[in-house]
Amino acid sequence: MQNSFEADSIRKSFGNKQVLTDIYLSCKTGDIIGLLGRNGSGKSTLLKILYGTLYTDFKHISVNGEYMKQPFKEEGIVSFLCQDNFLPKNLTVKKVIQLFDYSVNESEFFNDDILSKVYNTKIGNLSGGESRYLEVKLILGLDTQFVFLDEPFNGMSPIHIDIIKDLIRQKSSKKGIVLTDHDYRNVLDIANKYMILFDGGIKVLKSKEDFIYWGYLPEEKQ
Amino acid sequence: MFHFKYHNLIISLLPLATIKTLPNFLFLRMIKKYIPYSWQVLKLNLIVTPIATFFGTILSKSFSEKGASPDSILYLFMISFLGGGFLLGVLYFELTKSREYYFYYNLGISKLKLVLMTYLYHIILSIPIIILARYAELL
Repeated sequence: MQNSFEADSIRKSFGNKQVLTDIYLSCKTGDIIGLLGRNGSGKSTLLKILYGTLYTDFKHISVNGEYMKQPFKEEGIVSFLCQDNFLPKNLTVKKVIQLFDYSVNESEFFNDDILSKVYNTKIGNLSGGESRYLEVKLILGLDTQFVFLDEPFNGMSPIHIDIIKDLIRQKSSKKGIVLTDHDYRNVLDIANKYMILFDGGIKVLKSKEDFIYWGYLPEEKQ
Repeated sequence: MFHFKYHNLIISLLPLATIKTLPNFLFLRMIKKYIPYSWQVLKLNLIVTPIATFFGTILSKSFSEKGASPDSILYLFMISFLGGGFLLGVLYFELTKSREYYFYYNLGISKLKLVLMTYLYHIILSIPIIILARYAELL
């Protein structure tokens, strides 16, 4: 089934600083949208607003044409990987997977070479990469129509990154995905649409020249 | 003959029993998802409440010669357990572990639901405490 997520007229300011100005973003099943932007451009802020956990005076979000004030409160609509590690540190990997198993297929985790080694380890004792790998797998495994991933490759080794990239591609057949990451090469590798946050607005990118034009990549030396 | 009827009755009731227990089972699974948060709040509350009760008792001794009665100690304990101690536990989580809220959001649990369910757990926990205190008083 083809689902669509549309966000319109999103504005957000912190004090006098206008971070987002009249943003429009549309995501459909099969989309992997790479959201890029310099540090402090408002990528995480935008994702939190889209998810519904960050308040803003101006926004209009609809899923399949139906208005939603806070999409995260609706069942099966959207899941969100925030920038920071969010799993409770006092729980074991096994316990966390069990708590997610309402909608996550557990065999995905039992058959995972990386996670099976740390199955009885507490989250607080995992390495940054292992913890992130588990978080991304859990979020992608949830039975939701859309997934927002804020820096999913943070702290991961190249081999883990490749596994996650494959998983994102695989999951995109049934989900719409929006992701950001500072390592733009990973984003370019898997995304099928690219957008950049620049000066509070969002621009659609179509070629490498656009990345340079909007100041995200340095101009190539002659 | 009787055995046959009894057997049939059980078979006919089985689907009904499954339908009746299924929501309970799902409800229990949902409740489990609140426990890590509730435990974090409860842990701090169980440190704060005895301290608050101790100082409250000492303070009440300075106001009356008789000192605090068992009833008033229990009252102080409950005020802290279901009031200040609980709120401090919630505030502690808010200030130190706020990123963990995303764990619950992804499980379909909002902050309001978390706090309300945790408060409900606290009320349920306070019942045996009151019964035990009353029982100890009788002894």
